[in-house]
Amino acid sequence: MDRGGGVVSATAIFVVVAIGTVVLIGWQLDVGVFKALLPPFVAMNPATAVALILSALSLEALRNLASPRARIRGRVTAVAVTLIGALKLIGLIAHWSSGIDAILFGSRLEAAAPFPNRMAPNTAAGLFLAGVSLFLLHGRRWLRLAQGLAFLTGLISLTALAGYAYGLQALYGVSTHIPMALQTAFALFLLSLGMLAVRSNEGLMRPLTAPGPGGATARRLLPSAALAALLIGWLRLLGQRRGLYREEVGVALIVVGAIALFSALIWWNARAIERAEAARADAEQALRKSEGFLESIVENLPSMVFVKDAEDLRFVRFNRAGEELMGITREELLGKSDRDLFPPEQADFFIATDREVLRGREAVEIPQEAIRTRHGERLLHTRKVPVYDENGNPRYLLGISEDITARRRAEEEVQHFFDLSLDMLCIAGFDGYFKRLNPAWVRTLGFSVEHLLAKPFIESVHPEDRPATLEEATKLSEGVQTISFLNRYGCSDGSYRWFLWNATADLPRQRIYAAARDVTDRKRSEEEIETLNRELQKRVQELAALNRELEAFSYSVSHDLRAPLRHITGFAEMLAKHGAGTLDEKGNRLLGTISDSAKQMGRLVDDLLVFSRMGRSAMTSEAVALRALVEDVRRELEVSGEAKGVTWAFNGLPRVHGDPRMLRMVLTNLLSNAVKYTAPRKDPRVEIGSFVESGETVIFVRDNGVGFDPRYAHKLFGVFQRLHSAEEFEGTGIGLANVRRIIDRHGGRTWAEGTVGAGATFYFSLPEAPEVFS
Amino acid sequence: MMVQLRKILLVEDSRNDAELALEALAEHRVANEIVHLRDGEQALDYLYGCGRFAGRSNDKPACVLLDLKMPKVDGLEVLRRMKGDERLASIPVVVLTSSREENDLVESYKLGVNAYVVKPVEFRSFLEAVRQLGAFWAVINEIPEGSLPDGPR
Repeated sequence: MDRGGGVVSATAIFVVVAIGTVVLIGWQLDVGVFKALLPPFVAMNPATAVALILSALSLEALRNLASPRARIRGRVTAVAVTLIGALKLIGLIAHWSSGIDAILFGSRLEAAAPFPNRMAPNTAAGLFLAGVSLFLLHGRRWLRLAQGLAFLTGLISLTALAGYAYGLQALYGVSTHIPMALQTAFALFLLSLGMLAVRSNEGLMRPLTAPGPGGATARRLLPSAALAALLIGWLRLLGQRRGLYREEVGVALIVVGAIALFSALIWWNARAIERAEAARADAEQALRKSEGFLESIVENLPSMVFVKDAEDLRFVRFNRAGEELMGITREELLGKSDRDLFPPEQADFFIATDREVLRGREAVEIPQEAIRTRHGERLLHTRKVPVYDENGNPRYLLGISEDITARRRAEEEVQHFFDLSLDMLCIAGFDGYFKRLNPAWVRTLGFSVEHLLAKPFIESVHPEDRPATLEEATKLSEGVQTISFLNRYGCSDGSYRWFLWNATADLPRQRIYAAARDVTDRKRSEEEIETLNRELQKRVQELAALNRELEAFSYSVSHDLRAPLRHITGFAEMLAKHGAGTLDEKGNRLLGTISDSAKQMGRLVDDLLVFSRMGRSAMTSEAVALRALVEDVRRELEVSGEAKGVTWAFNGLPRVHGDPRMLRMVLTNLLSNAVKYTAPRKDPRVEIGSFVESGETVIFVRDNGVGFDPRYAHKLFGVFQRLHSAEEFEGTGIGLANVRRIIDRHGGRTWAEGTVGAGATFYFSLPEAPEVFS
Repeated sequence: MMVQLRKILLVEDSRNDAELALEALAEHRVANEIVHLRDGEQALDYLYGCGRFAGRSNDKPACVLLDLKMPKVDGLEVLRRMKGDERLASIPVVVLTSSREENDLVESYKLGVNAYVVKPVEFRSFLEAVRQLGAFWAVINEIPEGSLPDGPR
């Protein structure tokens, strides 16, 4: 029952009850106005009034269909009304008086002028129809009939009303019987309206109350057409009665008037429909627009969106992201179900979830599902949501899926590194507990992950390292990064291992991310190196002490060993002078030999001292112009007369780095050697040159002297190693040893080539880049 | 009357070396009286007129020939004392030594030695060195009079 219907029926009930009550009061108190309104009009029969009140009550009961008691009440009253009408009608047909309309106020009815008051036949028919209609209205099945009867009731009363309006008794009276009272006609009309309104959403009334344009047209046209018809009829009669025109003209006028009036009505109605249509079209367009808007959102979402029919779970909607993800066009997909697209067990799973969502009437989250696509298997995060129709029944299943394959793969990759890492990786909370540990922890400490997660991490730290560790954790929680922090962690076997930490914190998430390296072995070797270093330091000190002793020794040698030699030569000479003339030739020769031997020994001592000093003395490193140095040495040799008639050749002598004093000694040695061993030649020749070879400057001294046996080349640079006798060539056998020692200290090499009688070449090399000499 | 030549001090612990030095000086006809002292202690006693030399007249030697390596007080110590005492600092000191160690040479020059002679093994070279010294220090160099410290008399 809609709101309008409710108002109509309520009004009808109230007015009908009021009319009936007033009439009964009128009869009781004999008030004419109450009974018949105006004097010429007939009064309403009290039985009619009672029947009307009863029908109003039945109608009232209809307004509350859900209550069983109201339904019984409504039906009983409806039967009563039907009986009242039926008894009267039967009486009229059978010319038998049931007396139903004479039970109440019998005497006063008889006294009514101009003839006794009785219920009019048309009133009886109306009440009968109304009673049947009301009874049927309480049921389910005969609604249309009931409404038709109600309409018929309305027509009966309307005829009477029209009669009153046009002043034609024929319309409200039936032959010679008493006519229907005006109030009765009015009440019956209202009652029929109320009956039609009370279940106006159903049956024959449905088209009239429907929300569409049909209903609207009916609601507009019906009352206005009725009123228009009444009005035209009334006007025609009025004109005719006043003698304005004859009956034929009246008919013509009524036709024309009806045409005009109905044309106007139809035009008005058409315009209303037209406007409603336009408004509907606008609304439709707006809807289409908003649908297009939604459509474009759905189409361009990065996630796959699909919609399935709730009935058969076939796809009815699919977006572009879905096409791309699945590698399937919507033409291929729409109208199909999961069974057409996926392997059976997968399809079963999807369908089972879908059904669950539709049954459970709430969204379901599937955090990870593998799905076979034309691009291979993908991982999806899917949310499924039921969509309802206007009656609240599931209509569609909406699915939104995000492709998480790449994210999951990246996570897996990180996970692999996490698992493989040789270093300990962990995530700890500011609450002091580990949250996540990689397998390296288990390998290193021997504890299970569960064991380590179960207690605050500080308990695993060596007691001595706990204060420093807590301090470091506090700094981390203040946003300071940890770099190379050392502490010890306890192992399951009771030992401790040294960990070197790097860590950073995520302050909002209250998490510490840390990596630790087991440096126990490194620390051990560091300690070993430390010990070795200390030992080495001791050795160095011992060596230095030894060196000092050696120095003292060589000092003694230089002083004490030379003194007796000096004495030998000195006294031998004094003896020679003293014994001049008394010593014979042999005596002089013996003295000379003593003196020479002592001198030779003096040279040996001196050279040895130089050699030993070479190994100990401090070295400088500076740029040395080899060319100038060689020239200098040559000049010295020439001045001393050693290098007589030697042809010199110098080429490509570069600048080198070294100790100039030592290098001078090297060149002096090599050049004087060359001069010495070329002396027997007629055309002695000494060539000095250089070349660069694999990062070294190689300097060579080549002569055309007596040469040497290459088999003994390796002996040349040893101390006291000589390839010639002292009688052949003078020398102590220390010069080349000195050369080697000096070049060694410069980081270079020394070697020689030669053949007997075909000269010799002595080489030494110096590193190109200056080294730091000790 | 003949000019009284001032004495030359020879501080040398080796009897042989002393004899060779004296021979060399004689060879070159150095006429000064040579005072041979056997170690650094004697040298200092002599210079300061104490110990064995208490009461010695305070004439200053023409020069001091000083060996370095000696018992008791070594040559460098004697040199340090002499050059550190302004009354003795003006006496020329010639270090006559077998030592070829650079340290000795450097140290001697630091202390203000006037000459440093390494005794050669060859006697002839030694003679030559002495000759030059004698000519230079004993004859040419004059030392101001009366500057020797007074020893206890």
